[in-house]
Amino acid sequence: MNKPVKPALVVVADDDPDDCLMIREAFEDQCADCTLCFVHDGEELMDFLHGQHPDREGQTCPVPDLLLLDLNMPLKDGRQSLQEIKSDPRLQVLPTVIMTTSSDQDDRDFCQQRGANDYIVKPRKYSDLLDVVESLTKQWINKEHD
Amino acid sequence: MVNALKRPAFWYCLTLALAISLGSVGLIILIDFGISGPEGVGRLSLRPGGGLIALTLCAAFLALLLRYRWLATGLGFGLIALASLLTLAPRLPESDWLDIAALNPLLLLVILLISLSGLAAMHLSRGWFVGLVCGPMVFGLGLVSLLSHWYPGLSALGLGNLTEATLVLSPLVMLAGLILPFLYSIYHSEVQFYSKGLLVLGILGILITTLSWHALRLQSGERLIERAESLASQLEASADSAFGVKLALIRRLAERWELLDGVPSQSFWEQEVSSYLRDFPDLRLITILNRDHSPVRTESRTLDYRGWLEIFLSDQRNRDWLNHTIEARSAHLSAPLVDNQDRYHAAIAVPITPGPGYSWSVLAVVDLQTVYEKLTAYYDGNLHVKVYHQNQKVFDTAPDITGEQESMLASQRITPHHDSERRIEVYTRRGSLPPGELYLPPAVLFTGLGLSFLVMLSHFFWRQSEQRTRSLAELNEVLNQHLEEERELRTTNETLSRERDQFFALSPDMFCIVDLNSHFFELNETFVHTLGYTRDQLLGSSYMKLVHAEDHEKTIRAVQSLTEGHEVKDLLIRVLDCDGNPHWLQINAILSADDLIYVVARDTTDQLAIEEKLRENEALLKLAERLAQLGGWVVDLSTGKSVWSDAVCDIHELPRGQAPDVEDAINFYVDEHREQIRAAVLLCAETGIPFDEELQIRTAKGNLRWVRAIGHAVQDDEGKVVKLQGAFQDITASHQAMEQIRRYAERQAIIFESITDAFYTVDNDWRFTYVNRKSEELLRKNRDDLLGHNLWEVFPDTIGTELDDQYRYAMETGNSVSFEFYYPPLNEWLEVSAYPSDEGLAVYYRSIWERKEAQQKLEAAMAELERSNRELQDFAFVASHDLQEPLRKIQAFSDRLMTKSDQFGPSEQDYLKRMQSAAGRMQQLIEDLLSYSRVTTRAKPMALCHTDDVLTGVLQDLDTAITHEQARIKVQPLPDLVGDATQLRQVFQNLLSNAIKFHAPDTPPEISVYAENVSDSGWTLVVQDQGIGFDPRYTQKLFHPFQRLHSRDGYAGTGIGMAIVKKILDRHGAEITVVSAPGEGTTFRIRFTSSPAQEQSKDE
Repeated sequence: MNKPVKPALVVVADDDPDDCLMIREAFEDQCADCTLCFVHDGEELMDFLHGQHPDREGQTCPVPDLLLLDLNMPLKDGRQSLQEIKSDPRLQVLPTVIMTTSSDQDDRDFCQQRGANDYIVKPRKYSDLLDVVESLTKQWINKEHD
Repeated sequence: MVNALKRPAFWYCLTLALAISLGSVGLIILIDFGISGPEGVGRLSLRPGGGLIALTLCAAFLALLLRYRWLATGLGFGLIALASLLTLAPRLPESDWLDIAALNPLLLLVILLISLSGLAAMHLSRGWFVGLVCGPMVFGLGLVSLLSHWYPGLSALGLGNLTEATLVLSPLVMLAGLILPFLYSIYHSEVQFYSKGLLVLGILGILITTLSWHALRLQSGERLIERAESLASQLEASADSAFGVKLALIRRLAERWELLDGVPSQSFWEQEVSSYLRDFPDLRLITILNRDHSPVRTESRTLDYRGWLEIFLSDQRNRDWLNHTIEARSAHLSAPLVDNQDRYHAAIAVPITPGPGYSWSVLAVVDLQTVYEKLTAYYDGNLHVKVYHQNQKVFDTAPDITGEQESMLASQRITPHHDSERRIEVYTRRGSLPPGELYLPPAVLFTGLGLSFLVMLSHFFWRQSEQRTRSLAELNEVLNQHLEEERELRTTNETLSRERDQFFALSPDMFCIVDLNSHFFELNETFVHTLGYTRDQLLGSSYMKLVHAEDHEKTIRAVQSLTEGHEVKDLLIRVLDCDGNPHWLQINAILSADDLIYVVARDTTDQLAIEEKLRENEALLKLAERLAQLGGWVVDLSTGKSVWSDAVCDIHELPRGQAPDVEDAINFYVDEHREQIRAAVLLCAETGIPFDEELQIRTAKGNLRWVRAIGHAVQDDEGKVVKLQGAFQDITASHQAMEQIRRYAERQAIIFESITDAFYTVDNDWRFTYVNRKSEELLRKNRDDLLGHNLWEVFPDTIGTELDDQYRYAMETGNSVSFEFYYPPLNEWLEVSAYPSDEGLAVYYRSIWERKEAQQKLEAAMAELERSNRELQDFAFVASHDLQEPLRKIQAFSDRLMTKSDQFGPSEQDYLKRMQSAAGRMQQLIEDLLSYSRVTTRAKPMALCHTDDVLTGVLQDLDTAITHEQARIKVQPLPDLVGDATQLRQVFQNLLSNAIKFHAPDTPPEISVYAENVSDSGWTLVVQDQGIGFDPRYTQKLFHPFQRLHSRDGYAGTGIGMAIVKKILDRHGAEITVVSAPGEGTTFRIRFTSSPAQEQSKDE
């Protein structure tokens, strides 16, 4: 089990509280030093990324190390958010991993074309989720030290 | 024109120059007067009265020149009045103040003459006469006035009060005198001489001249004053020195005697005083007075002075003066003393003291006049001097000139001694300047005036020449225009004569001109051509040679009648052509004034031939009439008489040549037709409406015949019907034939009426010619509304519809057409068959409304079904998709529970596992359902697929299963097919995986895949296995979703695979059949048919 050398910030954009709970637990089990930050729709996500967070008014939001993005969200959905992030020169370097229920090939193709860094169908098993988080951590958070 | 102008122009310019000069001079005089006042230098010789007159005269002249008639008249009278006033008023008592403006009476005369001439010139028809009389008079007065300056004898006749005025005035007056005789012609000249340029030029020149003149005058005046002042001061100095010398002389004398102890001896006295008197001529007397003022010694030039002395001494004032002199002990000059001869003398007294106690004095008398005469002897005569002693005039160089006539130029006052005072004044005679100064300004003035006049004149002529140039240019233009017009006229003339010649040459009529001696004079081409001669043959020859011998007489008579002044019209004579054939010529001729006969002839030979032809035709007509049993008839309404042709009589079976009257003719008609023909004939006779009736008559012999009676009216010029005429034909035979035809037609109509189909016919112009009853019902229109009407006009809604296209196609090609047609206005579906023929189109049609309605309902139901199916599919997809989400949660959280299963008891763990298992199955079901619905939702377009490649891919995917089950699969090459490759792959996958899956536990699966019945129309795919098979009773169940034929325990699967296969194959239009029995394996056959579209795709 790799421990991050410094606390890493992971932003999870998902409106499903169950999934959020699951992801939080998985990260706690797998990467205890990671700081998780949850946003619940695309608007909130973009505000966060642009330095504003409703809960932390006046504070500059730290630049996240990883973004987990759900596709189906209220207001601005994941597809739109992805498009905006990847067309913004400041944000496009942000590792953006799509994490969604949809296993639809059209969605996969769409996200790939728009520059998503990975596409993960939400696992049905907690153990699978742990595997996913582990590989994500390895790939995006601890890679400098690998 | 221009020469005639020269003289008036000259006079006009002269008058204008004179007027301006007068105005200018007058203005300057008045201005000078205004500025300098009555004593001004410039006023030395000219007075404001003259200035005023000059100005008024100027205005009057200008008004006359500019033709302000009434202004000029007013000014003329005003001038007379002013001149009279200025002449007469100063002569009245108590009008001294007017002296300054006084006029010479002679000038008044001049003014009168000028005014009269002017007024006469303007107002009298013979005004020039007055001018002619007055002019020389005025000129004479001017001349005399001028001469008066040099001939003192004439001085009374000077026009000016003063010399200078005379010098300026006289030439102007002479000029006026010259002009006066021409005033009339100037005023009445039709030429407008005036121009602004002229006036401005004149004013400018003359004003400059006048100003120069005035400046010169002023200069002269100033020089004169200067001279006068210097004269006065010189005189003063001379006089002072003269008296000083005298005083010193006498004092010296007195002093010497004083030294010589008093009174000299008589001889010494005489000697010495005589030399004094001799040497100083102005000394008149010298005496020595004792203290009692008695003369002790006296010596005088003449004895008269002795008396003067006595008188002098007897005056107490003089004695007092002497005492004063003695007391003052200085020499004194006494005040002037006048003697009885009005000579002025002054005494010089010097006190002497010859001895102690003596107070004597020496007294000398000085003749003042002599003194001053001597002093002034050498000064020029223009100026004269007056000397005053103690305010008493003692000397005057020109005592005869009165104060009125002179002007003081300078005055010098000296007070040499407290009791003596002298004043010297210098005068000039008024108006008499020195000759040089007198002549120069007028000379300048008149030279200037002359030059100005010349400039004006040249300006005038320059303008004239300008105008002349302009008029010449205009004239030139007019001439050019005339030339142009003339040229055009000539062109027109030429055109006209050419046209006339052409007309003459080209006319189809024959033209010729002959003279009275029967010779041809001129011929046109037609004439020559018609008769075939040459032109040269005919010209000059006698036309009688051409005239047919039988017509000679006629021709001669015609010529005779022409010479009697009649015209010849439509004379028909025969003329022989070159071949000797006679031509009938219709001739019109006239005799012209030059005794030529103009002949127009027309060859009527052909016309006569035509008439002949007509007569032949008439005979033919009669023949035809007889053959066609057609005759003609005429009824003269005025007489009631009829004329029947033979044919008409034959038809009536009357003897030929008979013609019964109208009523009898009508009676031939059968009873039922009689009134009809009567009405038709009456109508025709009254209104001219023709008739054409087919009726039956009973002939004279009692036979019934059908006849056609045609009649029309003949009207006279006023439109009144005068005749009826027409044709009459026996149509019995044709009538019977017609009757037959009519019966056939009726029979046909009955048939058409009775058929159940609607039927109509239209002719080639689309007009309805027949409409049956059924048609009336279907079209909902009355037969009468249709017959004869155009199809497209009655049913305009059909234009441009299929009906239109089909009908026209049928008409154009001659092919019959059948089609179904919906006609919205009637809400009717029609099945139409149209058969074209030479006469138009015959159309059968019937309503197919019921059939169409049923069809439409079916289509609607199908569409509804389609829609509901689609909705159902959509629902299945959406539902299965959305169901996945909560299921996943259940799975995830139960999985999370499983990780903590060590905290549960064994039964709880079992429950949890069962729950997970159920959730997993549900997930499978949902996924299957999704796959099933994706057959339609994720369908891709059909394309050519290589079936072998698809199969190879599937076998690779199934490799694990094949290996695991040790399956043997035999594959034969398969034909290509058109379809959705992804879905075809799914079909193979499902079929093969089933074949692999469903085998007996101990027997490895054996599968073969091959094609059957390969042809152009399609092929059959066969998938055969040796598996467990199934009961053929459940064959239909096999293809339903979630229908399983085997237990889940033995064989995994949800039972969706075959349903998907069926659905995909349905989409591909392929049919799947299955043959199976338990334990005997299963054979699937899929029949792919290639539709034309698929074929096409293959080709591509």
